Amino acid sequence: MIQVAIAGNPNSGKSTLFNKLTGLNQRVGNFPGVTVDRKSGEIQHQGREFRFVDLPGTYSLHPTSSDERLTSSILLQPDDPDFPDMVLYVLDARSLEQQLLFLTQIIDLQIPVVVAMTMMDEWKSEEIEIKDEKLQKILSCPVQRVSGKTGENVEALKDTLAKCSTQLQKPSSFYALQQQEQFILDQCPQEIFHPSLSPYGRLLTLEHARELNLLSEEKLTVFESVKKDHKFNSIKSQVHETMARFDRIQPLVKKVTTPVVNSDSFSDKIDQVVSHRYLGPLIFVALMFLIFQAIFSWATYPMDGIEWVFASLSDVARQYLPAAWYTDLLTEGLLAGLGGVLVFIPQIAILFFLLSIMEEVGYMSRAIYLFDRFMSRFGLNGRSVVAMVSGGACAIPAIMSTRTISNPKERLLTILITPFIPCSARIPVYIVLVGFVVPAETYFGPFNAQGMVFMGLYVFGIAVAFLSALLIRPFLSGQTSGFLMIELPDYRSPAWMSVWLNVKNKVGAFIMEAGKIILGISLVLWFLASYGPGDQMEAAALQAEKEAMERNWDEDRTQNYIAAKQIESSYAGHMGKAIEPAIEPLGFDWKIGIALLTSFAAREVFVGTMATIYSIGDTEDELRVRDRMAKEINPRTGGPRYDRATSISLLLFFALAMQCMSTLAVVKKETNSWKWPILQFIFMTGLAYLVSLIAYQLLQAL
Amino acid sequence: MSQLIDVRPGEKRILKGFEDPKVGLRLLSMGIQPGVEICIRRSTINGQTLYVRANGKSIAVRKKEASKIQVH
Repeated sequence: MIQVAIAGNPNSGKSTLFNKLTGLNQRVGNFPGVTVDRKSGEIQHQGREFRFVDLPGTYSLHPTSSDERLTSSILLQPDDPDFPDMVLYVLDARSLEQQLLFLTQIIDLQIPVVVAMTMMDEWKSEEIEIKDEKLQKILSCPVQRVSGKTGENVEALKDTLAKCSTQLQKPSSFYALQQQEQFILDQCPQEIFHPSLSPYGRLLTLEHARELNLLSEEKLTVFESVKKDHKFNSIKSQVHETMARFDRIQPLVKKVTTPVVNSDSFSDKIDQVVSHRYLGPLIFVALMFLIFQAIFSWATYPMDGIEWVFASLSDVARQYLPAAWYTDLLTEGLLAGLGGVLVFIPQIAILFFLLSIMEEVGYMSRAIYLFDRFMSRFGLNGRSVVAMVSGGACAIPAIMSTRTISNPKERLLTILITPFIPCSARIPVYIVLVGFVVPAETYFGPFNAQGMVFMGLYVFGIAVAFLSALLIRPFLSGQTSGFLMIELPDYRSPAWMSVWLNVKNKVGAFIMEAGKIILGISLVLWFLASYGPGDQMEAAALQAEKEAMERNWDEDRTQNYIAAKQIESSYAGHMGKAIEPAIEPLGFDWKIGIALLTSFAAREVFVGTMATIYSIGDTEDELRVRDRMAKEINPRTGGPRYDRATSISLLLFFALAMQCMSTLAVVKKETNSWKWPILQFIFMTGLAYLVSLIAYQLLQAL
Repeated sequence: MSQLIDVRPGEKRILKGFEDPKVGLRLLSMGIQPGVEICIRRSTINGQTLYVRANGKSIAVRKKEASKIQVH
């Protein structure tokens, strides 16, 4: 197996080429310890096996951001499992000078390199002529022109890789270490370095060992004292090295290209509108609205379809299987849980389809440019805007979209606050409860009062998200990105293969990783709602049936009444009663307690549970549920159970509490630990409790 | 000697050097070196983020970062 690392500058067409090379044989995981996408893929060519790993794009081996650090640390540690036998360097022909910098650094690590020159289509139009044979000779490594988008010459590139892999040749070095750099390396005990590291690799280790976590604390101390003794200025040396490389690169580039007239590019013209100071944000909001609409409304058709399929499946199962516990397990536990996982797929697929296109055409960096200042005030990133807007439909795809935020602290903060953004699952709950807060006919001037409460809840959620960012930020470790300085790449048409693979990988990762947890928890919830201690449930059912008979109720009413009594005596019912003392100060009784527990499966389950508890059957009709709830009397006060205080308190609770196990499962997957979903659950639910408590007690006192 | 932030949008200057070597290193590695033509094309509403064109490419730069960039 020959390990090939694909390296190159950001936006050099690296990922597109990776996709072309590996096609469907790719796997997406995480690099160990960090949640940066690690895309790898294995292929066979001419009887040789290759494993490609797509390294994060970087401009130089002197890293300035976290994913750049990852690339450097892999290339500087020959013992790293991803350390390559050879590097496939993706070189964008349009900016040769800049792209050669990183290439010459890799050459100086003495790792065998094959160069793939991309963007030839664009290059032709700009009338630069690159003499690749000459470039090949100067760099002493094979250069192959290739198009990741059309697939042109990809086979030839594989041939080149196969040929080179039979005789792995270390390239000759490009940059000669300065006297002082060589001297300082000689002062270090040589056993500190990995024996196969080149002199330049050793210099990089000396310069970046601490930030890259390359060495033990002991060895770092040795390094630092050597650096101090000889007054070695690491940054200065890096600048000097970079300048020295360009001094050599510039004449080379002149040799191999005919220069272009530097005109204002087409992209710059587009940006006169798209990145305009006023139009830009408006266009962004419009695009986000489109995305919001897409996830919110277009996804409902396939979602309804999925729900229908699973409902039908469980009907069929119930029809043909005997009425027994395993049939219940299959229909109400397994099938319902599976449906609960799959129902998210349309939203995830649509969001990532649209986001991938925006990323592919180069729009995302413009969004960062436009919102960098605003978001960085809250410790967030320009890209967080995308997650927060998508969160308005569903937090799950939104949290998955934070992978493009390269700073770990900003990304984590975005993940932690996104669930505060009111998602579509809260809407049915809001619809039921808003009616208890203000009557439907109330108007403030031309505005419907219920509509205003609705909007207020949205504004409230968004405001809480931003405020929590300020609140949580000081407790997170790590640096916020010190720099913006990002490239705004030229606009280009998307590579559809990459868009498709991205959607497929996201959906796949969701089903395989978050899906397992969601399915597990829904089985637990099903068990809690379907079983009770001892034979209490059976006894409750018999009792209910007897009462119904005495009152001469019809079949439907009897069934609904039995269901209500059964859930009351189930484990969930007992838990609801057990937590009643805790939630009573918020104005909730044990019935609401049960619904709070079951709505952990998904917030909208609240409505269905309320329907069961108030024995009006399993209905999706929010208004019927509301009518029944309105009649409920509070035995303590004699007034209505859902008076204004309780309803407001419950609304606030639903706005703030972390009541979505699917979101927690995705947070676990995306942060790679249980720590963050647990802390998030405690923070959000704790905040919800506190706010509801204060609101209820104040409203009671008034 | 002036800094990039003092240059009027649209006015083309020549990049001279960097006051902060870290800013310099980042720009250098993006292929933006002393001697190239540099120009602010536009800025965001609050003026805190600049859209800069240099050496045929566009980059987004914070005002603070631009104050470390010296131009002729």
